[in-house]
Amino acid sequence: MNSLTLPNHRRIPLDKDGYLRSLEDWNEDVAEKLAAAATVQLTPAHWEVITVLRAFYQTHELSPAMRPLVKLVARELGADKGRSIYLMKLFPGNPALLASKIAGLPRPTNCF
Amino acid sequence: MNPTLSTLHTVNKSAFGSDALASCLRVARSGDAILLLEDGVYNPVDAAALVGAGLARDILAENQSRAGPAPTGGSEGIRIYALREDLQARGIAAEQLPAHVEPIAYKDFVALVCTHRRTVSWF
Amino acid sequence: MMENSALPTRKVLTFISRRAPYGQGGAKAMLDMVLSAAVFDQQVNYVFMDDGVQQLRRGQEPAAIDAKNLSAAFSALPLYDVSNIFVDAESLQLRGLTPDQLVIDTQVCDADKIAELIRQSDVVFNL
Repeated sequence: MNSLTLPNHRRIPLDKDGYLRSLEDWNEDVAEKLAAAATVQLTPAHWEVITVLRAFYQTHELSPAMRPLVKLVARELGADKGRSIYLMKLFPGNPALLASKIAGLPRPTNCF
Repeated sequence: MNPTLSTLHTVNKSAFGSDALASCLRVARSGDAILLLEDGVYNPVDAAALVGAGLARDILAENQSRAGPAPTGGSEGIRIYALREDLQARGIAAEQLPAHVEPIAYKDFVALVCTHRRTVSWF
Repeated sequence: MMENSALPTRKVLTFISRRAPYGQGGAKAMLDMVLSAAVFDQQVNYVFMDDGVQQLRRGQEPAAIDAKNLSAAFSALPLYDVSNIFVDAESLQLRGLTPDQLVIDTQVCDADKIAELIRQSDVVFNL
């Protein structure tokens, strides 16, 4: 089974796409590890997006797809950050997928 | 029949165990067709009773295509069909159907799908 | 915006959700389809009818049965630009529900309105 090994040798189970199997396994160290696996070094700019995403999931039990993510970030962090190009720089490739993964959320179901 | 507007509704559950038929009848409108299939063929679609109970309107007392080809532009009312194989499988003889329900074959089902703008499946 | 023939055309999709939220999968499947359609920039009508209106009932705590809270997602619909949300008045009334008992603001409508939405749709999903 896919898993992530923390420095304390704790093994965290992941699904086939590299998302946490259990949301309770998430903490900041786990986020750093998940980011590193995607060659992303987390900065305060990443963390504020992750915080917004986790709060959104707590309220709606939903991992947002790209367009709603852009709108969400615009609403919570300002219009200058609520842009695909900004999110692409932080979470290269598919920001909705990668940001959800690092934030410990399930894979957005309507995101391809 | 206006092909840009009319809808084919299919109902595949008996009204005794599902609200599919009742809800279909609430939103079907003149020019639409209703096809009963699978357990939908058990539905005792007594047109007069349904209209009387306020459950439906526009249901034709007799299916026009059963009586012969529909007159040009004659699209008033809701036509009701039942799939012959599903009737046969469940022991419902064509003679037991009310006059406004026309038994049809699978190929007619395909033709209905093609002659309506959209299909709504109620189940 | 100019029509671009290389892009799929924008269709009117109507989703009629008629299942209670737990016990069967229909409600969740419908929500996922609505969100996917919205992400693909289609024009979406989301209609709650029959037991489907129970999805909108306030106060659901499905953690008690180890299920995800479907109703929590509805307040995210504006973020997906889904704003055409309709609830069948008769279905509400038969179940003793009033619009103020629902988790989101919706347009309470009658059967004629649902018939009209169907007539205006390219595709209707009914589950």
